[in-house]
Amino acid sequence: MNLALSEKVVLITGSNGGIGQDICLSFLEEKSHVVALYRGSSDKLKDLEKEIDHAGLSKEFYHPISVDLSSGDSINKCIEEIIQKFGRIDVLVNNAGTTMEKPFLSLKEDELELVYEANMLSLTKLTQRVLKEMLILKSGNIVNVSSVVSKRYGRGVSYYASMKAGVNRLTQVLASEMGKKNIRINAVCPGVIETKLSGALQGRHHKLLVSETPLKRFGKPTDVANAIKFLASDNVSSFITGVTLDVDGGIGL
Amino acid sequence: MNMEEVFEKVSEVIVDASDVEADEISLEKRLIDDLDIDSIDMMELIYSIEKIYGVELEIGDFEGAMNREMNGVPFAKDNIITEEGLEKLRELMPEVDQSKIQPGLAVYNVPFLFTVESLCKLIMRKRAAKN
Repeated sequence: MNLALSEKVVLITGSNGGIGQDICLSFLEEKSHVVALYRGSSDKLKDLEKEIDHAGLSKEFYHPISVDLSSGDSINKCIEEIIQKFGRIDVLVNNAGTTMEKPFLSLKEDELELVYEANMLSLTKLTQRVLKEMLILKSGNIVNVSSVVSKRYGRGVSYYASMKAGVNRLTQVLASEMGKKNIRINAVCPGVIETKLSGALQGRHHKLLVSETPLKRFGKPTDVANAIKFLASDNVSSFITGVTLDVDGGIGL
Repeated sequence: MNMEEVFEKVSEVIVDASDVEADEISLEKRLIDDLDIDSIDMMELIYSIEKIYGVELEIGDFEGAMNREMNGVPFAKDNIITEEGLEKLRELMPEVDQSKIQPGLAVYNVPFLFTVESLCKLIMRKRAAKN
């Protein structure tokens, strides 16, 4: 299947994370220009860069940029830099996020703010800024990385689950607003994926989670990355917008 | 940069950003009520103009922009434009229907007053301030 993502400018947030790395590799395989956004030290990207080398992929299409997604100024500077370099943004993958497993009543104020900032506010600020560029070009695709807990489960991660439900709704409403401008906005809702983030959960509930999953296995980051590429490709999903696609082996059913 | 040049460019952008035909556009037409430009088209219109002219139109923060313009005299209170604010609007926008600039006018109703000429003048004012 030809995804026709070659030379597309693809922004990926949380590029150093468990799923983020595979999303980056996956777009690099398509020869997209991968703008890997990360926060802080570039040391965080060492694992990703090793993986790029290991996979025999060229770094010609790999463009890491540091950005603080909590700051409008930092986002603005980052987008200006990208526009100056490429002249456009074709795809935004809002992958960055963080979870916090803790009973709702014991969540402290700064923890609530952190979960809100990392999962909802940063995504919103970056999306606003990127949409300005996409509006002018009347073209673009945004894929938000949500979670199965946005629709089902979520005990112990109540606030994270509600933020992800917010991401789903934002996806749907923005899709309805931006459709006339030829901009598609979709989300993927991963289930249990084998990453560091889900490691503790898998450790404690391995048997239960596998038995609850109709496909009888955990997902791999590439399962999520492939779904994102599908939604980001106008060649194969041009009539799809506003969906929140479950990539969960059926556990959300 | 004169009004004629700005009008020509703004007309091009309006045609590109909305369903409006070029021959429907004239200086006195109101953007929302006469040309039927909706909020999404308006966003595209504003961003395109900002990019072309390298200025920030601050339509999204109209109250803040007006407050700065009025050197600390409040433009509005609880969303309702003050008497001083109305006076400033009359001064800056003589082209709009003056019967609409009356006590009780809410900030969120100002975009409905905007004509093509208002937009052109705003661009020229912002450009002049920048240079």
